[in-house]
Amino acid sequence: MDELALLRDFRCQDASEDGAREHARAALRAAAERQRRRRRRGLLVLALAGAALLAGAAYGIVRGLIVGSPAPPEVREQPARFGHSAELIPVPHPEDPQLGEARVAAVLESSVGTVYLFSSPNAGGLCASTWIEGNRGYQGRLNIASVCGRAAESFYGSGSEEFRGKTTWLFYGRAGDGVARVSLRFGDKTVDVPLTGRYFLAEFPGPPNQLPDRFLSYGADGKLLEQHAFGGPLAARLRVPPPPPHPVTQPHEVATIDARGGAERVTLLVARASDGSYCQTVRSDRTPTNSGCSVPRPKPREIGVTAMNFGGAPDGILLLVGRVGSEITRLELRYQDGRVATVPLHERWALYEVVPADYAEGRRPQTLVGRDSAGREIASRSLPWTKRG
Amino acid sequence: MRAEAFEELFEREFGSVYGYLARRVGPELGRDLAAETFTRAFAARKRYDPERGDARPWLFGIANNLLRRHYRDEERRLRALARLDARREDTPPEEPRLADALASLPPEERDALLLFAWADLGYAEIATALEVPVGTVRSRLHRARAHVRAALEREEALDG
Repeated sequence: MDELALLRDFRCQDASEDGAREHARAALRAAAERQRRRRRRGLLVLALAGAALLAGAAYGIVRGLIVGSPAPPEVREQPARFGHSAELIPVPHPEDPQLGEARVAAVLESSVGTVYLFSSPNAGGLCASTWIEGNRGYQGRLNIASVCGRAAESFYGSGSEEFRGKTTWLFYGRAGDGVARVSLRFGDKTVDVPLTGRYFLAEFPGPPNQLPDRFLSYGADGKLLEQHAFGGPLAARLRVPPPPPHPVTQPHEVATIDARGGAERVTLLVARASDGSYCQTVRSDRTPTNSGCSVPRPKPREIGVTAMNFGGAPDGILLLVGRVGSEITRLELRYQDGRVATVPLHERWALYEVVPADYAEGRRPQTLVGRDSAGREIASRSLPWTKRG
Repeated sequence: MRAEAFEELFEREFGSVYGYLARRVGPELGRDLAAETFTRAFAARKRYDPERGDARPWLFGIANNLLRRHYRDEERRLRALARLDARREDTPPEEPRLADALASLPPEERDALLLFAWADLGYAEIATALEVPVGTVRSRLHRARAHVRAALEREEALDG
């Protein structure tokens, strides 16, 4: 009897991390912060009248632990796990940030939590991407905002991010060649934005009173190098966002399928949303739950069924999920090779698995067709397999 | 050890340290102990000499020191697993026996055995982690394996 082999299999299921790594990271950050405070007691956080700016550069020890190190795996795996929403099989686009190579460029303890700024290349230059730790959105993907540009010139992004019911206003980017100082102008006040290396990440109070109206950069000799006025587009981006839609009824189960050859039971739950759309939840015992609102209510002759990489490509389950309009009583799926399958409807909702064998060119699902009670074809929807331009 | 090197160490080793602790005391307590292990390691990182080579024995030594306060929790959990698993039809028959055998091992032998089986440490690495001579590790491992093997064979004979 090989007791060691038996032991090696014993309680393996307990070793699944399930957030333990994040928990440890948070503990480490707290420990680093305590160390920093002990060392830097007396450090003043700059608070400039009328425009209090919190910046990543102030957090020395946290930065010492993290800045320069590779971004967390969940960030670097984003391109592989989640591609473009318009494609069933994600295809990287050269202009996208190559997050697989992302490194931490700055860290900011903002009013809504820890914000990371990642640096990464893209085809044309460099990108700066922000992520509020723990902020996930549609299909469980990380809510990452990016801005890209050429290394020679400063580039930056700005806008509001909502997280756990609170809103933060962030300004982030990268200083161009020769830039030694970066500033934002708020009316008649100019506030320096601290640099962490060449990158910057700062939080500002936001509307109604504290909107930056100008970006300024200076060389080491104090000479003004760049000056950009924030016109309409930025001001528009800085508008206070409306509250996101949320469920107003109890989610109820409408469909269940046995996916992955019967190895995984997947369930679709739906609820009405505050803005008249639907909230949709796809869950299983193996794959992280995918939940979101703003699922539009289809018109009577419209197919609102879309593709979802449940769990994220390439290892997720490719599902067709959504609702059909009230006149559609039967839904068909036509494949490239001429096969036709019936997609079962439950209370006008569909939950259908596309098996991996049908991902291949020539076999892919191509069109959804809706029929009315008389069998007439009254709606169709192409499924997006083409690469983005 | 520089902070960046520690970050790499964390990314590389967290999974195995957490897995080891979670399998011993359960995911909930394991999560806290794993966080505490790395927090202590971070605080002591400047005293760690990278010339000593692989940091795994150092990390598992910290983890094991933290575990000592929870030997009773571990034994209670193992006995509960032995009782519960024995009642479940979908549980492999050896699981409750293993749980029972592990629970009845002296803690220092259980440490050596599980560092070997679950943390994949070699004899010398276990000796470093537990701060005992290699010979002691050998004898503890020998006794522990014999104990577990005997318990499994005994139960197998009873099962007929």
